[in-house]
Amino acid sequence: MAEPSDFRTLKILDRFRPIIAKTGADYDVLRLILRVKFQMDQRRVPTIMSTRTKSKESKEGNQYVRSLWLYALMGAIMVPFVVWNTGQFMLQMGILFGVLMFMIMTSMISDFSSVLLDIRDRNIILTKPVNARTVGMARAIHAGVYLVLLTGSVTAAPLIAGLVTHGIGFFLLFLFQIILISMLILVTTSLIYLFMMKFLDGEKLKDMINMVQILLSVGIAIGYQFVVRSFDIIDFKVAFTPEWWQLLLPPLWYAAAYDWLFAGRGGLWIYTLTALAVVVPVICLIVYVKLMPSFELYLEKMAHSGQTSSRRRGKWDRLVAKLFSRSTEEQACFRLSASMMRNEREFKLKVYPTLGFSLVMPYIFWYTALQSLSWTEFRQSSFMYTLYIMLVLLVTTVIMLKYSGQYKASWIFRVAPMVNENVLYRGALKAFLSNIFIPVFLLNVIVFTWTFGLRILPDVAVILLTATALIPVSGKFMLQKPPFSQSFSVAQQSDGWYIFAALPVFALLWGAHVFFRSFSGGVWMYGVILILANVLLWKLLYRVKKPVVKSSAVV
Amino acid sequence: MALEQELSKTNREQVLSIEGLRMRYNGRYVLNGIDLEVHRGEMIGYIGPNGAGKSTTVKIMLGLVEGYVGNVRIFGQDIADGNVEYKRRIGYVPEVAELYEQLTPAEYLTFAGELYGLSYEDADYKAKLLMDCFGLEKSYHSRIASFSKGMRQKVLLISALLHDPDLLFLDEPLSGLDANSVMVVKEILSQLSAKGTTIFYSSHIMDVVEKISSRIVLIAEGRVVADGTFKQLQQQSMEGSLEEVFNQLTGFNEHKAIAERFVSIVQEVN
Repeated sequence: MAEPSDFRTLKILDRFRPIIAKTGADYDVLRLILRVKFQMDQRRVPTIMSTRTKSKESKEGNQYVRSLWLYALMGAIMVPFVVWNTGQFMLQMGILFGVLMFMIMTSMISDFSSVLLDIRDRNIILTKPVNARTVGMARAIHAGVYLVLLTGSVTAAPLIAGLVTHGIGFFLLFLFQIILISMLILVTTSLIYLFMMKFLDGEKLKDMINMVQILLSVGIAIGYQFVVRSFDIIDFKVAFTPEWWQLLLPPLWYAAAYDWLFAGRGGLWIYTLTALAVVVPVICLIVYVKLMPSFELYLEKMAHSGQTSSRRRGKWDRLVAKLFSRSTEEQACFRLSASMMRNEREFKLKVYPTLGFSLVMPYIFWYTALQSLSWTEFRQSSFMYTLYIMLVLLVTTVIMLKYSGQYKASWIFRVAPMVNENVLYRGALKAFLSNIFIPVFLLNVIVFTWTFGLRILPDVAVILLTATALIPVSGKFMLQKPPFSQSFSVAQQSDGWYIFAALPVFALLWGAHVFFRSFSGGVWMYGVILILANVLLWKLLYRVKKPVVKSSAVV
Repeated sequence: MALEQELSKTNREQVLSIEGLRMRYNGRYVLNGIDLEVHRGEMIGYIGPNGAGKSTTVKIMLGLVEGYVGNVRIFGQDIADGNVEYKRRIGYVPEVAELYEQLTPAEYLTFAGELYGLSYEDADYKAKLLMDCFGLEKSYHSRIASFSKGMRQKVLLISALLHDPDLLFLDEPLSGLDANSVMVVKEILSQLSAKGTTIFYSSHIMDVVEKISSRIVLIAEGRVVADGTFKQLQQQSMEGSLEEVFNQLTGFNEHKAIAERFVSIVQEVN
C-alpha cells in the first residue's frame, strides 16, 4: 500500500497553517492526527460484525457525508423565511436562525460529543511527545470540519434563496453570520463540557454530561418555540418591542443585523444585539483556545471512575416485571431492559430527547389553535386528539431498542439457555411500555384532563390501548434484531423514514377513533375491540412456545 | 555479587527520579509520598494490590495526570515544565488494549511512529518487519477491529517499541498472548534491558515478575513498601515465592477462607 491518500479537507486546511501554528499547536502533528481521524471516520462501519458481512455495510466512504443530503433537504424548509419579504427581518431571520441553531446544536450534541470527548486519544496520543494544545486543536478542527459540512448542507438552500431575492450583500452577511454561529456553537458546547469536567468526576460526570446533552436538546427545541413567541404574529402586525430577555436569545443577535442594514432600522438596541453577535463568539473562542490544554487533562477524569456509591434499586422493577410478565425469563429480560433504558447513556442520549419533545409536541398544536380560539372554546374542543402525536415517541423508541453502547455484551443472550428469543423482545417492549411510555403519557394525561375535563377519560383510555396494541406491531416491523444488540454506529438515518410511514397509520387510527365516537356507546365498543386487538397482537406476534420436553431430556 | 551490582548501579546514568510524590483524588490520597530512583537498564517489577496507585504513578510519569505534589524527573527533565520532548524516549503499553480499531496495523503503527518523530517510510518499514516477527505479516493490512486479544497486544507492543525508546512502561504486556509469544516477548524484554533500555513492568502475575525483574518495587496504599532485588525481598520477609512475599507485605492471608466461602455459595444454589 502506498502512502495514505490525502484528504481534500486537509489540503484546504494547509492554507490555514500559519493561523493554526499561532495558537501554539504543532501543525505537522496536528495534520497527522486529523488524517488518521478522517481515515477512521470513513470506516465507521463496525468491522466487529465482519463475521457476517452484509453487502450493505461494506460500502466504503464516510457515512456521515453521505447523509448530508438529508440535512440539505431540511434546510430547504427555511427558504420561505428568507424569501418572504415582510420588511421585518427581526421576525423572519430570527425564526430562521432559531431553526438553524437548533438543528446545528442538536446534531452537534448527539453526533459530535464522541469526537469532543474521545478518551482513547489520551492513552494513544498524549503518551507520545505531542503537546496537549495540539491534541485539543485537532479535536476542535475535527469536529469543526463536520460542523462546516453540516452547516453548509443545511444553509445551502437558504443562502441561494437569499442571493436571488436580496442580493449579494445579504448573501455575504448571511454567510459571515453562519460562520460566526458555527463557531459559537462549537466553542460553547466545548466550554460547557469543560466546566462540567472541572467540577465533577468519573461516572457522575458522565451522567451529568449525559443529562445536559438530553436537556439541551429538549431545551433548544422548546427555546425555538420561544423565538416564535417573542412576536405578536397575529394579523401580521409584527411589532418588535425590545425586552431585556431578548439579549439572551442568540438568534435575535444575528437577526438584528438585517434590521439594521437592510430595513434601515437603527437604535441602540439593534446595535447592541448586532455587536453581541460578533463579540460573544470571538470571546468564547479566545477563552476556549486558552483553556484547551486543561480540557485534555480533565478528560482523564472521564476515564477515572470514582468509588461508586451502591444504589439499591430494583424493587420497583421487580414488582412491575412480575405484574407484566409471567415467566421468570421474561421478567429477567424486562428488568434488564428497564435498567438499560434508565442507565445506558448512549441509549438515553438518543432516545430521551424524543421523549421530551413528544411530551411538548401536543402543546405546540394547542398554541396555534389558541391563536384563534378562546380558552373556554378550546376546552370544549376536541383537541384532546393531539394526544395521538405521542405515538411518535412509541415508534421512534421501538426502533432504537435494538441499539446500545454496550452492544457487545449481548452475547449473554446467546449463551444463556433461552428457549425462545421472543421472551427477550417481549421483555424489552413491556419495559419500554411501563417505564417510558406510560409515565410520559400519564404526565400529559394529567394536563389534558385538567384542561378538557373528565369527559375525555374514555378517549384517553382508547388512545392508551391503541398505543399498547401498536407496540408489538411496531416491534415486529422495526425491531428485527434482539434488543440492545447493535452498535449505534450502524444506526441509519433511514430509520427516520419509518416515522413518516407511521404518520398515515396514526391518522387512520385517529379516524377510527372519531368514527366510533360519532355514535353513542361507540367509544366503549372501540375500547373492547382494542382490548381484543391487544390480547391477540401480543399473543400472536410474540408467541412464547412452551418448551417441548423430550423424554430423553427429562432430568 | 551484590557489591558489584551496587557499584555498577551508581555508575549508571539516572533515568528517572521521583521525590515525595503525592496525589489526591476525591479528597483521598492515592499516592502518599513515593520516592524512587531508577537507573539505566534496570528492569523494574512494579507491583502492588489493585488500587495501590501503580497506574496513577505511571500516568503521572506519562503526563496524563496533573495536579500531583512532588518532583518527577525523567532523563533529568522535570516533567512539570510543560515540555513534552521527554516522551519521545518513552514507550508505553497500557493495560487496556486501547487502539484505533478502525485502522489497520499499517496505518496505526505508522501513525504512532510519526507521532514519535519517525518518518512514514521508516515507521512503515520497521513496523512491517516487526509484525513479521510476531507472525502477523498477513494481517498488516487488515482492520484491528477483527483482531484477537493476543494480536492486538502484539500491535500495542510494536507501537511502544517502534521508536526504540530508552524507557518502557509496560502494564500487563503479556495479557492475551499465547505461551510461545509470551516466551518471545519475555526474551525481547530481557535483551532490550541488557542493551540498556530501562523497563517499568507492572503486572499481577507474580511468577513472571519474579523471573524477569532485576529489581522489584512493591507499593501498597500509595507508598513504597518494599524495594530491592527478589533475593532481598525474600530475606526481608522470610517467604519463598514473590507471591507469598506479596501476600505477606500487603497483609493478606485469608485466601483459603475466602475461596472456601465462595465455593460453598456456588454450590448452595444447586
